[in-house]
Amino acid sequence: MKQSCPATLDRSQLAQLYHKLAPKILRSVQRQVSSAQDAEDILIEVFVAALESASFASLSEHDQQAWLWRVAQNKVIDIYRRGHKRPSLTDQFDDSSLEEISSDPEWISIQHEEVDHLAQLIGRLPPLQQQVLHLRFSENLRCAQIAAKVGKQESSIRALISRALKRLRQYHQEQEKGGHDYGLTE
Amino acid sequence: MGLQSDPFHPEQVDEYIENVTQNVQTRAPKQEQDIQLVQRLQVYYAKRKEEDILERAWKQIVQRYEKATFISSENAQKFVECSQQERLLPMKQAIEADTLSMPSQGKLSLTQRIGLFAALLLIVLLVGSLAVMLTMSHTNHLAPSVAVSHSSASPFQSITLSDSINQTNPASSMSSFTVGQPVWFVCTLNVQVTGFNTLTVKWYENGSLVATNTSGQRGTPHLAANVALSHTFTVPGNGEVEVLWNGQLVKTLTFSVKA
Repeated sequence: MKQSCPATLDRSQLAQLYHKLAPKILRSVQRQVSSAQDAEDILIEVFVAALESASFASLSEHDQQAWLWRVAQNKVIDIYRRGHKRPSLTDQFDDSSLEEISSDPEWISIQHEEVDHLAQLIGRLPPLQQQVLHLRFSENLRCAQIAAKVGKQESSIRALISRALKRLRQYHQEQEKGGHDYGLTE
Repeated sequence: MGLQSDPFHPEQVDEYIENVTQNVQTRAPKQEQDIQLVQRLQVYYAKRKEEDILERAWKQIVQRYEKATFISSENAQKFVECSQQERLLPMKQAIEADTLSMPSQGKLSLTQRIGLFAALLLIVLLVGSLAVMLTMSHTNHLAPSVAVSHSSASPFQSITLSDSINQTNPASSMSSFTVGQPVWFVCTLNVQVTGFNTLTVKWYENGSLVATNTSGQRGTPHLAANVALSHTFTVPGNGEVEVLWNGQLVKTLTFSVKA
C-alpha cells in the first residue's frame, strides 16, 4: 500500500552535469551522425533518460558521466541500426581525448578570447553582411542558395560576402598594428 | 588586388571558402592570413550554432524535468492521501463488517432499527471529531508567519515552507535554507474546497523567477488534501514564493538562502 518517493535528480545537479558534459556529448554525436537534428535529439534523449532512470540520481558523479556516455553511444548505434549503417571505428566515442582538450583552462580561455574578439568584429559589420555571413558559415549555404533564400541576385551575395570578409581582414590587420579606427565607410 | 591575387574577390569568394572548408590546397603562402580568417569564422559560427543547439536542448530537458518534478510532487500528495485512507480503513472495515453481519432490512424490528441508527450516528460523530482534531493539530504546529487565516475565502488551511516532507507529521516551518537544500512548499487545503482548482507556486531567487510549479487539485470535501512542491536554490540570497490559487495571488512567503 505504501509508495516510496522516487529519488529525483536535483535541478542544479542536472544543470551542472549538462554544462559539463552536454557540449562534449553533442560534438561526439555530431561527428557520428550526419543530421544535426539527429544529434540534437540524441542529446535531449540522453539527459531525459537520466531523468527517467530510477537509479541515476543515486550514482556517483563519475558513474553518472559514464552512464550518460554509454546512453549516448547506444542512441547513436540505434540511429545507425535504423539507417542500416554502422559507425566507423574512427568515429567511436573518445571522451578521454575530449576531456583532455576541453578541461585545459588555458585552452578554453584562448578559445573564448578569440570567439569574443571575432564576435566584436562581426558586430561592426552592417546587418545584411552579418546575415549572409551567418548563412554562408553557419548554415553552410552556397551563394546561389543564399540568393534564393533572401531574394537577391547571386552576384549581390558574392559582393556582400566579399565586402564582409575584406572588412574583417582590414579590422584584424588594424588591430594587430594596434590601431583602433574601425571606420565603416564603404 | 586583382582577381587572381585576392581570394575574397566576389567572383571567387564562394569557391575559396569552400576550398578552405574542404581543406583543398590554396595557392600562395601570403594567403595564410585569409585562410585563418575563414577558418576562424567557421569555428566561430560552429560554436554559435552549438550554443544554440545546447540552449534549445536544455529548454526541452528542463520542461521534462519540471514535468517529472510535478509527478513527483503528486506522488508526495498521494502519500498523504494514502495515509489518511489507511487511518480510516479500520473504521470503514468495521462498518462494512457490521453491514455484512446485519440481517435483511425487512426483518429488522423497530428496536433494532433505532439501535442501528444510533450506532451509525455515533460513528459519524467519531469520524467528524477525529477530522476536527487532526485539523487542529495541523494548525497548532504552524509558524504564525506562514499560517493562513481560516476564513471561508481562503482555500488554504495552512501553508508552510520546510526542508523535508513527512507523510504522518506536519512539516516544520522554516525561514532559512542553504544552497542545494530542497525547499518544500507544503500546504493543506480547506475542507470546503471542492471542484477542480489549480495551485501555482512561483519560486524567485533574488527577485528573479526561477521556477513555476502548477498542480491540479481536486477538492476532497471531508478530508484535508495536502500538496507538496519543492525547489532547490542554486545561489545564496533572498528567496520568495508566490502562491496562486486559480491564477490569483493569495500569499507571498519570503525566506533566506545561505551559502
